[in-house]
Amino acid sequence: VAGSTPKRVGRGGGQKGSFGWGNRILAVMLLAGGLGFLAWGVVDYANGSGDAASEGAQAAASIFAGVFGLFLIALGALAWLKGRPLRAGHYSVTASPSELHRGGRVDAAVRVQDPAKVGEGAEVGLVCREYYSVTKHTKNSTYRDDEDRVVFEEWHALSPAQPLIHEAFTVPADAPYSHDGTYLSYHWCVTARERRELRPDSRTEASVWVLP
Amino acid sequence: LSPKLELTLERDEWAPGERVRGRVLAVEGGRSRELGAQLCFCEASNGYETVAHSVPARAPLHTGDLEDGSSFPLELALPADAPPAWSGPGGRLYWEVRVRSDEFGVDTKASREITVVPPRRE
Repeated sequence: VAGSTPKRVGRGGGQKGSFGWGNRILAVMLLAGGLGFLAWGVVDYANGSGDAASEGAQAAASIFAGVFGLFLIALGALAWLKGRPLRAGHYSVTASPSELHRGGRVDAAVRVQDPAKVGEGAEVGLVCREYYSVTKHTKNSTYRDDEDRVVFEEWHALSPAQPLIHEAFTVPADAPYSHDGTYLSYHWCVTARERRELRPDSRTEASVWVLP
Repeated sequence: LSPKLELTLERDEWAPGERVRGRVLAVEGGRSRELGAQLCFCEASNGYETVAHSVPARAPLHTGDLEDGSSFPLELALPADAPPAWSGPGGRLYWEVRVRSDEFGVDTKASREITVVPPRRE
């Protein structure tokens, strides 16, 4: 940059948005609480009661603790997946080039590492996600939060029979360019995903930096 | 008394790598410690605004009180990789020239948005 600030324009902001710490903390708390209740229920049920009269009530309490523990674990898993979708570990994706101008073409190379795990509906795509700040309101306060939305996506179906698949994508000339900001960011990536019924899609991705 | 500033530029459209030129006119003079200018690449999203990147002038435009009608040339280097403005559903990115008179109390400011044309590629 021909200026006094050494960093490149639009790179190095604080907004990532891909995994909120709130979700991570909530997930850990729910999982810990769930495991605690589950362990308590199991131990309590296994120990039984010395008093025959209260045995039924104690068994009911143990079962309730176990079920409640499982419920908390399920909530924790959902909170975790909301922030961080499952990784499609049997794929690896690379983008070439990893830095290009708008209007340029990027090649997504998808290597299928474990064909046995490949499911139906696999796709590879080029995605641009916009992260932006909003004000949220609670009963007693307002706070800033980040939200995101897809502003560009193009998907091609994958043929998992091949171990290495190349798909080419064009970044539209009028699409947003990459920007890592504080209140507004645009992140581009090539992504391999598997669409799954009633569960979050699993995906693996490689970042692409799109220049103006 | 605070000065009143007016910022004019040679043109509104600039290319990356160019030097943005203009003048700052003190329409009304006043107390000032220093008059400075900078180019700012700004981001705005739902009422939140910040400067993502700034390029200050090499030196202050003026030091000391401003007299009525005094005028100061400004020249700021637009980075070679300066991105053009962008406006999306969640916010916008844009460049502007900002001048500020550093004063005791609230500073006097003036700003003007500029259009940065996309870089030409072979």
